[in-house]
Amino acid sequence: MDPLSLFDHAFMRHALLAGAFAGVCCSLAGVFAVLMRLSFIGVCLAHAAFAGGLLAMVLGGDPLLGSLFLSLGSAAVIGPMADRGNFSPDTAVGIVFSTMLGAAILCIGLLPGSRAEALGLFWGNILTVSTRDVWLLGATALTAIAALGIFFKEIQAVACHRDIAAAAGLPATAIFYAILCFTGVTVTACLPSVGGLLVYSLIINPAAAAYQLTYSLRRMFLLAAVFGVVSSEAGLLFSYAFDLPAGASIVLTSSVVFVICAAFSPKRANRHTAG
Amino acid sequence: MSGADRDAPAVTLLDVRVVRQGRAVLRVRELVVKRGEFLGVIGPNGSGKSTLLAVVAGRLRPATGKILGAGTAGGRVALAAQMTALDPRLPISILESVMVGAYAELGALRRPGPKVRARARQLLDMVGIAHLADRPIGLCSGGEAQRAAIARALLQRPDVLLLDEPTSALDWRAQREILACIKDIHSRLGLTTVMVTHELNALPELCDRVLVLRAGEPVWLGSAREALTPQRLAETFGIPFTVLDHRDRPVVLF
Repeated sequence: MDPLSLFDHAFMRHALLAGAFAGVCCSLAGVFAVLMRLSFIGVCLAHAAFAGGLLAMVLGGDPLLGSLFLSLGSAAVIGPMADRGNFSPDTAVGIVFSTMLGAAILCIGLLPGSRAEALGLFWGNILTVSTRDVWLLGATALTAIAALGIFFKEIQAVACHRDIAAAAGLPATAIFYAILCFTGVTVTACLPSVGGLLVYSLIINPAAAAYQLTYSLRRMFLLAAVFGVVSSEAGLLFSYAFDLPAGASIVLTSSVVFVICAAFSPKRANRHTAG
Repeated sequence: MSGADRDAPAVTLLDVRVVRQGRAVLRVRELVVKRGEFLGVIGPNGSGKSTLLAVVAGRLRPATGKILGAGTAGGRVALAAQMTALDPRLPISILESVMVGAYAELGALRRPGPKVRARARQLLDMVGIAHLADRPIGLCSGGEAQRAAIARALLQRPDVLLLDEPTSALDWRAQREILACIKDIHSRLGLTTVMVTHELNALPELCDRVLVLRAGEPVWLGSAREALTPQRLAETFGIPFTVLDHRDRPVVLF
């Protein structure tokens, strides 16, 4: 097989671009999820986006807009619920997740005709990604990188220790909610390509892998983005070469990257000596 | 600081009432913290000590009442919050964590430059952990993290420094070192300082006055020596206390 032959196909060029962009924005969102111990947020927002897409289908609207609406809505609800209620952020995520799962199943039941398109939202298919989806992913990735560059100090303060940032006079709550909303946008943008189910792995695995390797947040963002892109592109190549399902191939590659980083983590030694 | 300046109020609370879930957790008719004084705040758990600090720091809006001085020019307040467990893998160094103290003043679009970095290093030196500046904060001991918290608060260039249980969860040696560090900072910078603590024996050495809170209300305010009587402590905490006189200082046993 000629390795360069994959560039001959427009669908493969789209897939490679979408994979790279999804790898960047998912892994950046993942850094927040890992640092703020909200690792379940990816799967929660993915289900919200899925439910939103289905709701739009039921109402005859654009699934992408429906996904964006409900994932942003869920992100906007999780923060205040955790802050004002008497439960932890993880519990708030769990409540929103179960609600969205119920809404998604309800919408599937209400959907007339074939449910193939609906299930496509859940599984995604990076090989059939449209130009609009690539643009959306690209815009999300570039916006995330720009926001990270401009607001790095605030993001660092809130992601690493939100209470301390608030005590120091930073608008920590607003920054936290903005981070949740960015995660919602990322999940929505990834829905058509990576799929609602697999986006969770692409959010968590590269960031968790980077977390094993560095005590610098800048390096953690950089490594997570590199691991995200490598997972996406290598997963696609494996998929192309061995005729495997693309989404599963990407996710399993990201899992292998995590296992390698965890095995060679310099923090393992510190974990035994700390405290 | 002249005597007149010293008697001027740094922070005044008037008819302040904080309500949480329908219950008043803090009720202060009038409390004046004098400029430059070191005020200790004691009381049982749940008596409103941390709530008082949160109100003075501007982190909690009271349902009614006024807070004068705090948050105004000449009334900048910084809070060194109670220590919580930190993830040992957290990707932020002690220096970076301390620099967070300058970010609010710096504003959204400005990066911390060499001046902020140098000032943060200077304050780390003042609290005795300059040599740990590049260590990940999650790998610090409790005492080191507390010193970092104090340096972070000082980087906010406060007129009023609030300390919430700075010796909690520390071993005896670390407690003694932190209290010495706090005393040194107070005498060097002359900051108005309000410290919530359960370390009763530290009060006479550090504090000008002590405020006793019970069930959300101030029940006594006076000198540290007068605060530490067996009867007052028993009324405050609901258990018997013995207070000995050691080298002309009260020592609390329980």
